[in-house]
Amino acid sequence: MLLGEDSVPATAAPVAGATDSRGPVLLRSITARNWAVYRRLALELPAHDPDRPIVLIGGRNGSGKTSLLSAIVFALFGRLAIRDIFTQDRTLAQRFAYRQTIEAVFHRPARDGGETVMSLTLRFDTTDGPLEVERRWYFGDDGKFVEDDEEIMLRIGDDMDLLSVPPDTVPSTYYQEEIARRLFPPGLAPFLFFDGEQVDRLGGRHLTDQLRAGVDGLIGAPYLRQVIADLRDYARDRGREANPVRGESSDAVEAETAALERRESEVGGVLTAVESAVTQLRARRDLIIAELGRLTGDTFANLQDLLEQQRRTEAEEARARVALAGFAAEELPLHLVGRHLRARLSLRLGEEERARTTSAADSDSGLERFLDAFAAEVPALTAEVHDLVVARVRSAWSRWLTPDPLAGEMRHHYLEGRPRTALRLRLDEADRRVRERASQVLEELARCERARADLSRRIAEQRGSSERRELLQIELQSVSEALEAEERVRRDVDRELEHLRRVLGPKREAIRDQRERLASALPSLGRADRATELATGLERALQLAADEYTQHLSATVTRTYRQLAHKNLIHQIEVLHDGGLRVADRGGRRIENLDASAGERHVFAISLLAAVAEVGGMSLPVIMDTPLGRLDREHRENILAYCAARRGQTLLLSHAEEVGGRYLEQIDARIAARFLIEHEPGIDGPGESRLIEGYFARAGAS
Amino acid sequence: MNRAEPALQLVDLLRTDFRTSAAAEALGVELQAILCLPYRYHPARLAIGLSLRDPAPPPPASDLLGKVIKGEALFGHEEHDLAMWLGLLVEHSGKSGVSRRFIQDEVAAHWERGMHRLWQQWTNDAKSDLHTFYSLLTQSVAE
Repeated sequence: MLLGEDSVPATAAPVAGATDSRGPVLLRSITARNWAVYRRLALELPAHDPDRPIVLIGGRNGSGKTSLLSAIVFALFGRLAIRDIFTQDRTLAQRFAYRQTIEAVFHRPARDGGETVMSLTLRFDTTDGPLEVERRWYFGDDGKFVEDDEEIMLRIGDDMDLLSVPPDTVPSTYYQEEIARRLFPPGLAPFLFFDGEQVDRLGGRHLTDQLRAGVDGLIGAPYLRQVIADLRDYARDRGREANPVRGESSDAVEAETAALERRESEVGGVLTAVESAVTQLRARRDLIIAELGRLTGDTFANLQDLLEQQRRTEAEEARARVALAGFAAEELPLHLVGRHLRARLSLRLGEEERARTTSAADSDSGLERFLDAFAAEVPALTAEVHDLVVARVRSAWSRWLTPDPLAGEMRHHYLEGRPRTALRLRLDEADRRVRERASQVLEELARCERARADLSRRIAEQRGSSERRELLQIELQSVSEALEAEERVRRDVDRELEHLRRVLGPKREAIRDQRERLASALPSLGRADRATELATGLERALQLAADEYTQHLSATVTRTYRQLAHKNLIHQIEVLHDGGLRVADRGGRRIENLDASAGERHVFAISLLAAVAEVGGMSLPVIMDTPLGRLDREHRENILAYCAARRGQTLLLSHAEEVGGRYLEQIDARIAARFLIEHEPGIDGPGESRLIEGYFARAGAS
Repeated sequence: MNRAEPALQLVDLLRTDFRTSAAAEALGVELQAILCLPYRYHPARLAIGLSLRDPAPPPPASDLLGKVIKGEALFGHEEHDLAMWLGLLVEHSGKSGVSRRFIQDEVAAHWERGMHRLWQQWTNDAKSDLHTFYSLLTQSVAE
């Protein structure tokens, strides 16, 4: 089955044979044209009667019983009959065997008669209504099978309408799948249609494959596996479509782009930080330059001038202090003495000087000359006034000439011979001098001190400015260097960013395109994911079903074997997942390699077949060719009892000595129809057979 | 008066040693530094002048353990300076015919009394301010 490009396969239909829920499948007719010994065959089988499930078809050896069995198998499964039923070998050799088989079974008289078509038609009753399978093989004029021309048709319903094939689906494949789904899968066929003479081969090398195929058939594994494979193919196809979008190269581009974008983000962060730093540094640099401009106007030159002024002022102050010291040493002490003592000394020194230099005679003549001069003054005084003044002058003169008691002591005699006048003059002028000098010296000192203080303040300010300027110059240099470094970093970062953006541009464009394509591809990817999920779920379900069926099959085959075999050497038969068997005796010992007789192997094989058929559904038809073979009586009875107990249709193809006599009586009441193959040998070939109602007139088994 | 001593000669005082008490000497040294006066005799001369202002005779010096200052330094090299100071001291004492020793004692007493008063003026009245100190001394002269 193929899936539509944009469609998800529908959930698989229920698998035929997996359960009994589908009801009985009944073979209602077999029509053959040029198949083996049957040039024309039209066998109608009775409708289902649960009380009479057995159809007995008798035929002598070589009459066409096995051809009838193979007709059913080949009609249903074509080349799969070779591949999946009669052998597991899928080599070209087996394909060649199919061709050989088909060419061999082509009715030779018909081929010789120029016919080129061989066909088989089986009609079944199913719970869904009638179903007919027709398969045709075409041959060339030379009798060679034309494989590509093989046809299969499936008709359904009362009108036998050809089942329509979905578009873009190969009809033969579709029909084959529908047979497996509506009837039974090829893997189950060996357990439903078997040749008793060959059945013990199941105990041989193909057993594992057959059992595994049987279990697979029971659970519809081939169909499910095909569905799973289709789902996986679908998912893979959709994934391939999305590969250009979601492929490794796309992931690598996205990873590389993401790394570049991370770097771009980092570099962008660095650039922001650098630009912030540059802005701050520039602002600081501008402030420093502005402040330096303000400081430079009156700093350096002024400071030198101020320092010079200070030096001069300090010198002036020093001189003022020297002057003050001189004042303190020379003028001030004398004036601290006080006016009183100085005056007293001055007076005494004057008197001592007069006493030392003046005589009485010199004084009288002098007085007379003075009085004469006084009398000559004009305007003249009155005589009375003149006489009064002269009398007073003469009296005062007389007292002045009288010596002072102190003068006689000459207290300051150590000044004898030295002029006292100069000394007295100095004593008398002491106050005047000190007032002048004091104010002069103190004011000068105060001025110098003020000037020095002012200069000191100004110099301190200037020095502060100078220090500030030096600090600013140092900071300016530092800021300028930092600014240069930051700008260097910014240039580098700019270059890297430019490079990153140049590289990222095309990548982002590519990723955008990819994402747009991804968006458009998402529905397909979603369906692919759902298909993958469904396939995974089916695989899990298949595994669970296989587990359940192998357990069920193990129990059923053990029970069936015990029912059919008269020797109970085998205590437990376990069917493994891979189709292998583990057979144990009552003691738990492994006895797969037990040297059993041909009859025992036959019963063992029949047990397996019956068990698989039972697990697959009692309502499926079972067709046994030569069912009793070389079994002893007890085993024959057991097997016939088993067949009679089945609810599903059972076709027994028997020769006269096989199901007859007591054995026929054993199942007689359960037989719905009896047929006999009549064979007319050809002159130089296989002859021709036909079926008539009835059975051997006298069966020999006893 | 000690009549045994010879009459005082002005020139004798030039080489005469003068000293005061140790306490007055110490204050003088301190005032010398405070007033930025270059020589030790500067504060001594101020002290003697200030003491002579008081008509009362000074008490004798408490001791004579201060350092020596020669007469030519204490009163000046010039004759009239020496004569003036000697005259003031003699006139203040009211004595006649004084001796060198008497003058030495008078000087010691005035030096000590005047130094204490100067110190008091500096610390209490001028509050240790140079200009106030000198202003107060100058005003006192003007009175």
